[in-house]
Amino acid sequence: MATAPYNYSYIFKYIIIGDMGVGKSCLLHQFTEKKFMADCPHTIGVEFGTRIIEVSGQKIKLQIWDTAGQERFRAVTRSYYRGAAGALMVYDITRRSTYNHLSSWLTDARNLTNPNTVIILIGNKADLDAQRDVTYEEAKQFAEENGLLFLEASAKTGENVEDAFLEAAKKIYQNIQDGSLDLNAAESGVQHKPSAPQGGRITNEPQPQREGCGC
Amino acid sequence: MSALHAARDGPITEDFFKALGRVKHIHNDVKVLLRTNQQTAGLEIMEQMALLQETSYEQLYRWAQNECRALTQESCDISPVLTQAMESLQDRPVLYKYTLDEFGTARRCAVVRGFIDALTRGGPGGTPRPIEIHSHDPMRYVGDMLAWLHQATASEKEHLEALLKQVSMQGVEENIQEVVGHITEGVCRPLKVRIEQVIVAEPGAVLLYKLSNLLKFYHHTISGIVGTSLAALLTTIEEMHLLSKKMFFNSLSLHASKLMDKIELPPPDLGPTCSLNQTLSLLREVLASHDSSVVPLDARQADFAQVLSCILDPLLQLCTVSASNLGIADMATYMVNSLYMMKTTLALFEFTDKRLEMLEFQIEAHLDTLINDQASYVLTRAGLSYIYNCVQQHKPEQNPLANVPSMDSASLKAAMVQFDRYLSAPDSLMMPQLNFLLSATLKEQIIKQSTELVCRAYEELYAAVMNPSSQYKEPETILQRSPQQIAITSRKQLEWASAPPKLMSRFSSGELVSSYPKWRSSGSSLSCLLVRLEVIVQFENISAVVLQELYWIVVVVEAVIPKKEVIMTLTAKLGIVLSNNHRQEGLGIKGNQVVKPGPGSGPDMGRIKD
Repeated sequence: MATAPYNYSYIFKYIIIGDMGVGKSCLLHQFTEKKFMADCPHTIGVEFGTRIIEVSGQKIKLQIWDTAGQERFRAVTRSYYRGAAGALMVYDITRRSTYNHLSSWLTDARNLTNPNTVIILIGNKADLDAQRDVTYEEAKQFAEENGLLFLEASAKTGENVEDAFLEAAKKIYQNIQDGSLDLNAAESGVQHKPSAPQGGRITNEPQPQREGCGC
Repeated sequence: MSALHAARDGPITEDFFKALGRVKHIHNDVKVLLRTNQQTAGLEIMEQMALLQETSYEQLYRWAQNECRALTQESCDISPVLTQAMESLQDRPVLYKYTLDEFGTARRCAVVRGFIDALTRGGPGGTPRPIEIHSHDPMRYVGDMLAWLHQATASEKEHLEALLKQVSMQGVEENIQEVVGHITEGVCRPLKVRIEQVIVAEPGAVLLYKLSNLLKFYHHTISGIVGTSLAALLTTIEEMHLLSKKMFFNSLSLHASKLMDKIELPPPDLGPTCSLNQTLSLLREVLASHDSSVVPLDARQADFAQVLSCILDPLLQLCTVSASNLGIADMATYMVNSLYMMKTTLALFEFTDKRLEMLEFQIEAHLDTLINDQASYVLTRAGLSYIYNCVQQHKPEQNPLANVPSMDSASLKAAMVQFDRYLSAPDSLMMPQLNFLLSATLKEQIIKQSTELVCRAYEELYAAVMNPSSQYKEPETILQRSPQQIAITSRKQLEWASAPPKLMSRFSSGELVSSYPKWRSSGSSLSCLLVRLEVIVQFENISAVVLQELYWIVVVVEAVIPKKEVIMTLTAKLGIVLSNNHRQEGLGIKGNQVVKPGPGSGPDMGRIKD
């Protein structure tokens, strides 16, 4: 077995939110497995997936928490916003009600995450254009007014699914470069590995992320 | 060879593994030499290689141990070299195990510190805020802690999987679970202390119940990661779950025993007592939180019987005791009202079939009393009571009926005048207790059935009077109406007089509609389903639109499991309510046809599947 040549430099924590049945789990599945899950059961509580992507030559591990959309889980899922670097806020372009609820999701996201958390709005089920209930322009405007990234995607065809996760990661990475995201603190949703090795050479140099050992 | 030596105090590199592999290879190849006459050389080489191997393994172990010891930051990137080291070390199980232990200890420290930081310090610049800031809100506080631990556990498992991904020996999965269990053991104490504090502060029955459900949910969720092994974290969560549940039932029993300590007398209007209303609203709150609970359906069902018996049994006892000093009709009315309140409360929740059936049965029993009482009330007031008794007790071998005292034609005629008056206004002869009934449907049922009894009594009287052996002259002039006429008249009068039903409105229409699929999925029996629907369609604030939606759900759900009877009943009931609404609101609905909503206006299908 060959040694995997990579290791990642950062871990970004994401959270996926939105109404029940908009396709949150399918988006995650499409992103991590590159497959469409046709008969996706309702998420119970919170599920979890990871994938390593590359942004500007840096390997980034995305740790994605997919929440249940059902109201009864709302109290539980709220606890997972903590320290998310990115939030994917999903609605279904064929169901207006899921779009109308966005403001309440956005309020939750804003209240429960860092000011730096990157929120991307995703109109899912873009393949069902014939049944469209929310226009692209309208959602685009909503996103602009609220300072969100925006994409229409389809978990079924895979269209824009990669981009949705990548765009958010790019933006987060940009925040890191700008220095607006403080990496030296816990729970920023980003974990940085300063001595990212490429050649498999590991040294025992002390890592500056934490000072002192509490145990 | 030099790579192995060089590594003595320097870092381990790719070359080290190549050299180690080579040594292993040589060691194996040399075995061939042993079969030749170069045995001495073979043995020497073997010995040398074995020595080299051992020192190298030890060196590798020391290096890996150091590496692992350093992994105490929150972020934990497993380097490929370390992964490779673990692969090599599996040849020396003791060293392998020690290294894993070292890893576990380091991570355990990291997790404990991370947890304490999240609790007390929060993130950069105070966002996210420390978890303890919300300690005044038990659900949020406990939920945040458990969610943090869930995420930490998942991350730790990932680290271990990365660390051991090249290890091919058996039982790696067990290793991982064991180490994750060890890593998360450290947080048990701080977690336990905090949750215990919340529970012991007695936040009230409903909150305790919600907490116990939350703990159960996380037990389930986290055991999905650490497996079903006896991880200390799972044990702690389970302990807290049991504690909160115990405190919850304690709190319910306390409530019940308080009820029995001071029994409230029935109010003058024979309605439910304050304590009944309070207890039912507590029950409703508990059931509703049960409803929104995150625990899977089958697990929820198990608690239900206990909750119901904890609250309903004392309530029933309370009602019976407090009614014991009332007269028969008063007692029956009071009991029907109290039982009816319980029924309407339960009807909206799942898993209540058995209790609903029992309540229904008890209501029936008290209704029978009221029906008989009402019938004899009418007969007495209409002056027929004595006459009817005589007819019943009269035996053919006795004097002809006409000769019995007070049974002469004049007395009969006088009684008939009064009876006629009753017939023209059946409402005027109603036991005062009936007006206290909360359920208009039950009141109607009593009047209808008691009227039938009255008609039957008249029928007997008529038969007796018309009988030639009774020796009445011109009996047709005494009893001018035939029993059929009486029956028809009284029925007509009743229809005319029946007031619009007195309804209750404690739930919003939306709640009603959304609760239907739940009962359905909980396997409610057909008869209970009808009881529930009966309760639903009586709500006064239920609009035609909601009814249509409900109808639509029923049609959709029943299409999967066809139950014609339910649909027919509902259609009929909705028809009546709709046509009433139509009259009242002037809605454009034709007759009592239920308008099936078009696509898009129906309920969320996901809700039904749920």
